[in-house]
Amino acid sequence: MQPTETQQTNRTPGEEAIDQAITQRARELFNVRFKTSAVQIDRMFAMLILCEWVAAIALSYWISPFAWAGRESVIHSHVFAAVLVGGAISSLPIALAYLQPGRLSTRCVIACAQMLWSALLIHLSGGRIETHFHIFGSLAFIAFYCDARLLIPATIVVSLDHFIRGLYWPESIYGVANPEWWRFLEHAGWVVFIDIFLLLNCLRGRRELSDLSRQQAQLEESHDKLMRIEKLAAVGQLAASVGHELRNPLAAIGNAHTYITKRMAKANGQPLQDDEKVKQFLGIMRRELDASAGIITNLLDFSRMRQPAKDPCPLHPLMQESIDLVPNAEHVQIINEISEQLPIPHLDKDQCRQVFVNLIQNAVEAMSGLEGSKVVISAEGGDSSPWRITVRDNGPGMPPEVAAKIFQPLFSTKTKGTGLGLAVVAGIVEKHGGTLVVQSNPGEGAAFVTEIPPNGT
Amino acid sequence: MPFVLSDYTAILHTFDKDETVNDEPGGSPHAIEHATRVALHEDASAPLAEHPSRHTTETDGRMRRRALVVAGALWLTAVGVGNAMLYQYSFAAGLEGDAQPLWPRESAIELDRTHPTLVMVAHPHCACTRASVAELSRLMTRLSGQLSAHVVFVRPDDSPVDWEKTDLWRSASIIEGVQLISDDHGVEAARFGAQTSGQVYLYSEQGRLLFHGGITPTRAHQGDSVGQQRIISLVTQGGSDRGESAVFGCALDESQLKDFNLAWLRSIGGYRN
Repeated sequence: MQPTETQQTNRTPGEEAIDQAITQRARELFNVRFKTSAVQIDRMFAMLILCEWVAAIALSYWISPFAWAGRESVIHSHVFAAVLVGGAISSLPIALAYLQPGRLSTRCVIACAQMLWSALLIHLSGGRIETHFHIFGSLAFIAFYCDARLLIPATIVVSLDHFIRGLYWPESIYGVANPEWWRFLEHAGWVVFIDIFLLLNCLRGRRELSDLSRQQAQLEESHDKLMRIEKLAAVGQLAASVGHELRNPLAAIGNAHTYITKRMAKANGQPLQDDEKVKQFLGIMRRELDASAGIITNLLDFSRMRQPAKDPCPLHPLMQESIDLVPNAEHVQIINEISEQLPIPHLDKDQCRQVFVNLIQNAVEAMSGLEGSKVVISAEGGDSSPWRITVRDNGPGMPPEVAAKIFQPLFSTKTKGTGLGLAVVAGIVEKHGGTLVVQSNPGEGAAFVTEIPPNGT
Repeated sequence: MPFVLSDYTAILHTFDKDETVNDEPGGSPHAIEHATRVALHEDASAPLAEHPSRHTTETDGRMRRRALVVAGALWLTAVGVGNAMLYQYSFAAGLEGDAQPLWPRESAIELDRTHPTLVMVAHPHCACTRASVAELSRLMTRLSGQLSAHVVFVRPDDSPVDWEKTDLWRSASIIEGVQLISDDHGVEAARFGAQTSGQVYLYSEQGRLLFHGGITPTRAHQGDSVGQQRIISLVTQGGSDRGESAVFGCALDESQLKDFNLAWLRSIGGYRN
């Protein structure tokens, strides 16, 4: 729908600029699509013309292999014509289709060559009426280009062929020795008749391509806009999350600081080492500062993830180190089932330790306080097959909608957490060229499967 | 959606950038070339030519156009010469021979005393005569019941058994009202004076020669022909402007040509001596 005049005049300079950008992009898309299509059709025609050449040689050898005089025979001239004249007709269009694909000149030569092929095939088939349909089929194929200009040289070739033959060999077309001079126009008229419909089809095709390009340009603009909005929203969400996470430790630090300040004012120069309350508040301040530092480390890991520095890293000791770093939880047993004989992968040890500490800690936290809780870590693969490292727990599991979002940044089911832990973990695994998936159903525990590709891939 | 001609003109103006200069709207030739390679899943990292200046582009364009014009001229010449030779060959008539003005008395073929009698002499292996047999089939359909027809298949000396039983024989045998004759040593052909395959003779009920010549427009080419029209006119109206036409086909006897291979080369210009 065209915008009304009022809408046009009410548009802001920003909207005008966006519209211009869309128009420019639509033209680029149109040009690329048109040229891509032209190159593809050029190549299809090159193959078709090559096939026509081969078919013409086969046809002439099949229909008229020999010319005879009594019992003597030689190769028929039609066979030579198929090879030589057919070769001459095919040479330039095939060469241009591969050397200069997508150009107007190439399309024009192809259109002319295809119509010359119609004339030659009609001749080689002995003027069979059925072969004349090759002309109309060829015109329809030429219309695939959606370039109506090509119908002009194609029609000229057909008309010229009829005109010249009508002039010198009228019987070959009209079956009479002295036809009226305008008879070639009758034949050309039928070609023009089909040209009209092909022209309309070309116009329609171009218009649709133009509309499609504009729609894609608008879609791209909308997508860019959406991405900008999403980025802003993510920044806002991150700011809110970080603000929320940092407010609690800061409040605790603030309270402790207030207490200690007041206590120092009351102490009147007396030492406070023996004051248990002061010790307790200093401990709180230390703990909350550590928590804040953890939040900021997570944020930095997420935003500036470095490339892994891979070295041979045995999995069993790596996993043992990771288990040792996870704080003990009541009733939770952590079992390292990884074989010490497993082939050694090349990994960034620090990053991978972070991955497994995170996965194990999540599993432990999910089962904290539940009787008989177990986290089992196993691994398989190596050499030419990928390593599959599984961290499985028998905890409450998670519903599918949670599993689907669990690696998304800022998504968390914990009351306390930035939602960046698993996003960082997934990012590290991805940087190693691997994958991390979660398999879980509510009430059936959860398994995080890390797949690392074989060394050297 | 209606077609708007001005839209089309505008589109025409914008799409053909690769053949014009590189600073028009709609993407530079390099950008289009790169995007086209990507779309075609080709090696988009393959080096493109250095981004050309307007001057370089125009020089390259001129050179490319010149090369294209030369290649196009050579191509048109080759195609034109090839087609001209082919048409010249197609229109080269065969030898007529001396047609007998009266039905040859010694002929084993019986003259029909109630209808005109048509005799076609054919070389059983001549590919060009397929068109003559196809036209005979049309003629017999058109003149059904008004014409008796015979096709004489020539068997040269020392021919193997069934040498004449070719696809041409089978095609002729299914034409209604046509009788086939196997002509050992070309005796019948010689009686009628035929020298070229596809030669047709039309005799009246009284045995008078009405027409002699071919019934195809060119060599090995089906379609309406002067010979065919004259036969129809003679049979249906009793008269025609002329009683002959050119015949197109293979030579019936190798003795016609002293050096066959040389003669074949000459056959590009016809079987004329």
